[in-house]
Amino acid sequence: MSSEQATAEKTVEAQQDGIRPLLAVRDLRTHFFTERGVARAVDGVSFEVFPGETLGVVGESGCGKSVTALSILRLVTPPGRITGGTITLDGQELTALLESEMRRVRGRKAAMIFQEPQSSLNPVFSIGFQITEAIRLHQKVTRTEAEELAIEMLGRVAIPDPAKRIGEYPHQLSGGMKQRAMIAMALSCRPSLLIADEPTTALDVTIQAQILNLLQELREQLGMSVMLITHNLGIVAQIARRVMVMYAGKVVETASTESVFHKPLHPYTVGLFRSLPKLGRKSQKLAPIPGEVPNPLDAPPGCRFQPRCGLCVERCRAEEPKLRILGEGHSVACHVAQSDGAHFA
Amino acid sequence: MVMQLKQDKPPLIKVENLCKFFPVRRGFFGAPAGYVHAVDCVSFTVGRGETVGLVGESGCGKTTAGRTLLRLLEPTAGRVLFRPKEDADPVDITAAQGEELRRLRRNLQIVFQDPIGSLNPRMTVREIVGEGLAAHSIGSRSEREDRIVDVLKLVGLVPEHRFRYPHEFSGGQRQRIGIARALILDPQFIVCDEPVSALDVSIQAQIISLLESLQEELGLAYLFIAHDLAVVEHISNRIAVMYLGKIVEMGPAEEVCRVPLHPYSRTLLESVPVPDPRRKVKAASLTGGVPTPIDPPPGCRFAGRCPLCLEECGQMTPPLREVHPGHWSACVRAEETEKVRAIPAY
Repeated sequence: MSSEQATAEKTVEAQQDGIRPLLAVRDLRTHFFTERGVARAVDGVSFEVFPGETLGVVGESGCGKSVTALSILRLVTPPGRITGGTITLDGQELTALLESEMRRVRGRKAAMIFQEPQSSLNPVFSIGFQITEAIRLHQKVTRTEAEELAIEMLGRVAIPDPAKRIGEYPHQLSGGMKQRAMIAMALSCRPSLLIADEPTTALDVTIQAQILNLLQELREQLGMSVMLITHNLGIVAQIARRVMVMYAGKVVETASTESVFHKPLHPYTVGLFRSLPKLGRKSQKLAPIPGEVPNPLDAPPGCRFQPRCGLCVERCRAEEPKLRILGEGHSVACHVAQSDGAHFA
Repeated sequence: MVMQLKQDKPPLIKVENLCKFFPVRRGFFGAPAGYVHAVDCVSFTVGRGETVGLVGESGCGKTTAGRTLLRLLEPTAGRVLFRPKEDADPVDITAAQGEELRRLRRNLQIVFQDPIGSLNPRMTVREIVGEGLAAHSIGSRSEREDRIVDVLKLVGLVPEHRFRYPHEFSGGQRQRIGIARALILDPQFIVCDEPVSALDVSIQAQIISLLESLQEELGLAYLFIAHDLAVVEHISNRIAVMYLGKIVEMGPAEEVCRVPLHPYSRTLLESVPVPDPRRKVKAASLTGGVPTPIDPPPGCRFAGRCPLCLEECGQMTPPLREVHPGHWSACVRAEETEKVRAIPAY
């Protein structure tokens, strides 16, 4: 009975836009059981990705954004383990699946591209082989058909002369071309969800611009959803519809991109913006957030941002803040936050 | 050819036609089949207490320029003049030998990008920071200890932590250790080679603020090498933009970032994603790849990718010329570049 109720609640929550989410993550906990203690890398994270949208996931290293992504595809390896929560992708509950069933989800329903294309591609196989391998694993096609599909995908990601490039090895491609090949591989089975984990961090700005344009075009063409993980606020502003800000394994703020950039309510989000040097605003002084990210083995009591927060009150040290709705689609995990931003005054 | 500061004071560092070529060999014993022109006739100055930013994409030679300037790499050609005192005669760093070079190095330090790889994991912070004092036999044992404590306080570290090893510190703290090491000999000039690129935004801001306050307090001059344009604009007085071993534009930081005089600088600036969802900009993407730096053909190195390219650009290398006072560009169409709209502030 109680599980039914819970499901009903979830659905109500998820249907806030009147659309069913493609991906719904509820209270996800991924912990790492190390010799020195338990690191709660992801600790009670909930969010949705709706069909056709781009969700930006922002946070600094160690905030749990990559572990969240790996958890969705069930790629977390020991000593890490998903210890709680549910992950529902297109109506299918992923945490309960067998490894063999999970393999059919990866690549076909949800695919991932990683930060470093050079270490994600196998150096001893041609890129054509690596793409056709993925295609033939998920689709009943012949070798030649798979090869044609691979050439088509390489063309889509704007690799010049794809029929020739297909026989080349990763070391023969530049960094930007390798990332394109990775994207082609990830999209070769038309997944409905693409998880991009810092896809342009290793690339130069001019190449980054090309890859981001490409990702947006492909998302529109193929109608897929993108979960874009990055630490670069500029990238998020340019391509995400909604943003989720993470800190030390928790979601601290979720809202539309517009609200996060123009009406941020969590002190951490505001701190991030004040730390960011902006082009053409040379005279603006930076206001760094003092202190450092807490040790995941020894998280502070109460709010995890409390030791670095200028607005911290007694309650913040005693009680962990829950996400509260402070505006349309805008939730914030902070005791002092007010919907009009008066707490910063 | 050498760009001067607006004020007439002689610069602290004057780099003249600095070149660094690396031979490309075929086989282990083979004669060089060509040369990588990593740094190709680069000239600039750094004034006292000034920060000059050096920007460019990976492989443009900015790191090699910084290292060759300090003679961590032997230059192929060119001079680097260093003037320790305003009224003293300049010393040529590239010609200094033995003891003279060693003494010069007290004044010239470097902070590296990778705060993990640049600290010896088997040495304590005290040993890492104090090594320079020992190498130059400065002070007694207790004087050295006092100096180490002072410098650690200066960079915002707890002096009691000096007996710890680098792995016990976070990325930001390790970068502070690297800065302390550079400061221990009280230098006049520090090359900062991507000092904040490996750090998170909030920590990056801490380190930038630290470098700024140290400069104010100690009158340091920096050559700040980085690829993040917003960071470079923030910290620098002047900026030099490099492309394939050459400086293509140089001028006051705000001018270069607002009204760039070279099509390459403009493309770089327009490619930076703007952190404001109300200003969606579709970044102008460059066509073509970066040409090989091995024995580059004559002509402008950017010609193959340049939207303004003329026929003559492929024939002769355009020299840097002063388009506005203190603002130099190596583009024959610099004046037209300027007329395109200014890069708006965020």
